[in-house]
Amino acid sequence: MNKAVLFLLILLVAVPAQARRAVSLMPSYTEIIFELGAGKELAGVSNFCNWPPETAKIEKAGDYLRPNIEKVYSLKPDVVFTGAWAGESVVKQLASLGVKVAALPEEKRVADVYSTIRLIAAQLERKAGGEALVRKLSGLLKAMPGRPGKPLKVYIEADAGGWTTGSESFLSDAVEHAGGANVFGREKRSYFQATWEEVLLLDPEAVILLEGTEREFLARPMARDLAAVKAGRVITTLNRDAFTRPGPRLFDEISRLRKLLYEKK
Amino acid sequence: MKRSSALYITAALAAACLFSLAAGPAGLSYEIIWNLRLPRTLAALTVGAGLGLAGALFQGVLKNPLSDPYILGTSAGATAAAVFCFLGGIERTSPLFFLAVFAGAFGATFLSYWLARLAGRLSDAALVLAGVAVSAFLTALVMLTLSAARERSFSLFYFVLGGLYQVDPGVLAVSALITGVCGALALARWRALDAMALGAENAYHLGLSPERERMLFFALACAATSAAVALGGTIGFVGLMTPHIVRLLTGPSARTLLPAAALGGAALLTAADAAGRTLFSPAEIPAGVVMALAGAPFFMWLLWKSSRGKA
Repeated sequence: MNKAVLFLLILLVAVPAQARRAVSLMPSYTEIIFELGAGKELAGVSNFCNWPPETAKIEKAGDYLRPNIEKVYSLKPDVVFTGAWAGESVVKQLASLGVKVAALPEEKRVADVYSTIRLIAAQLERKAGGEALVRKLSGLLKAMPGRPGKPLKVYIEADAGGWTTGSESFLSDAVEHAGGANVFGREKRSYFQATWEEVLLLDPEAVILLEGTEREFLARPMARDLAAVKAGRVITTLNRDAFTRPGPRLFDEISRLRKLLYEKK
Repeated sequence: MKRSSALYITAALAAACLFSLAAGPAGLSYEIIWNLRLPRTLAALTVGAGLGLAGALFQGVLKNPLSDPYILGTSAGATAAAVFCFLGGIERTSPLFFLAVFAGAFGATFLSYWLARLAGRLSDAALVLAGVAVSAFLTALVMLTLSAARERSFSLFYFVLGGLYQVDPGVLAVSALITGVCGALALARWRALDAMALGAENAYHLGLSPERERMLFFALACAATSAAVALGGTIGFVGLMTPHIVRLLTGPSARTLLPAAALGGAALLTAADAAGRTLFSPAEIPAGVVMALAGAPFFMWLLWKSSRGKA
């Protein structure tokens, strides 16, 4: 009799210990999982995951391009979230070890973040929470005021040395949501190094620097002739991580960018 | 022969400059040419000349057709010093930066030399082998630093890759000055270099101190390489290829080979940089990548051509 009670007690204690264990190999997925309130289920994150601060205490398992397969395996995850575009070999290797992999498609537009949230929420059995988060984020975009007049031409420098994005990156779409127009929006590429001469020719009315200082930027030849510089619209205050990750914080940055572009200082 | 080879090299240089100055999305805009393409062309000329000169000096003094700033670890030493300077807050405009980069270049070259000497009597082959080891170690050190450095690792990575996206006028002036002085000093001692090319023993019998001459030419080649690395990062193949190409025109004497290698290197890199800017416009390919892409096949073509010439 006593043994039976003890057995039942062990079972009761053991079942919550069997909670889901997830590994996220992308910083944006990690942020989404925390927003869904499922941060406790994360057994491992990528080396680049640094938000929210709680991620500091979670085991690191490499990055999305080169995850530490043995580490991921040793964390005994029920599901591993990775980018489908990050390479089939990663998915295949993990699958061959019997690890369940959720390979999520790359976000090319801001709205694709919603589908990523829904996919993650479905895997974590938090569909209602996922819908609520999507409603909250899309609400942020809808709440932004319309822009006055024509969209400003915006040059996004993601990394110093002319690294910018064309239409195939969600950053281009993010700038459009903020009421701007990417000067390289007609380029059917995601990430590329643009020649400085082309930037001068396109004459952006606003410049977003995600790396480097305004001083360095102004030191480039003829930079002071740009309409953006004359209008004082060289923006260096966006949060680089938040703006370049297709996650929940992107939406706050879009509203901030909207203000930086169109509200008088 | 002499006059026509000078003509070929001048023509190549003029064509490369014209290409670099005229090609670009803005067409023939005076402002763009003056403010943008001219500084960049001058930078490409300087880097190319420095690397071409360094390649000719190393190949001459070591009697080895495969030596160049890359094989000997000179570039790797300069690059490692530059990367540590950036991470330590010493920027390219500081005189300390040039000193550190030169120290890195010379230190790495001297280390290769010293290692080779450990094996006993210095053989040029051992020196090249030691250079490969030093170069590999320093490159690994740079890669380790870049993997560990969170901040700026991306722009530093592109510095290591080599390119002329952003040219600082001050750095350009200093680099051009260093390269010019190195070229003049080396050219003034062309007889010594020719004697060294006959072998250290022959040089000794001609009344030279081979050891001292070697160190002097090493220092000049290291200074020219440092000037190039400070301006354009790590750009390969110019130092290896240029002396081989121009030697077909000028013959082996340093008196004509050194200026031809400097001018030829300048033409080669200027053309490579202009191609990188225009081929996939508005996207830009760093000159280092263009050189690596064009360098290897060109080298093969050169070998094939010379073997046919002999047959």
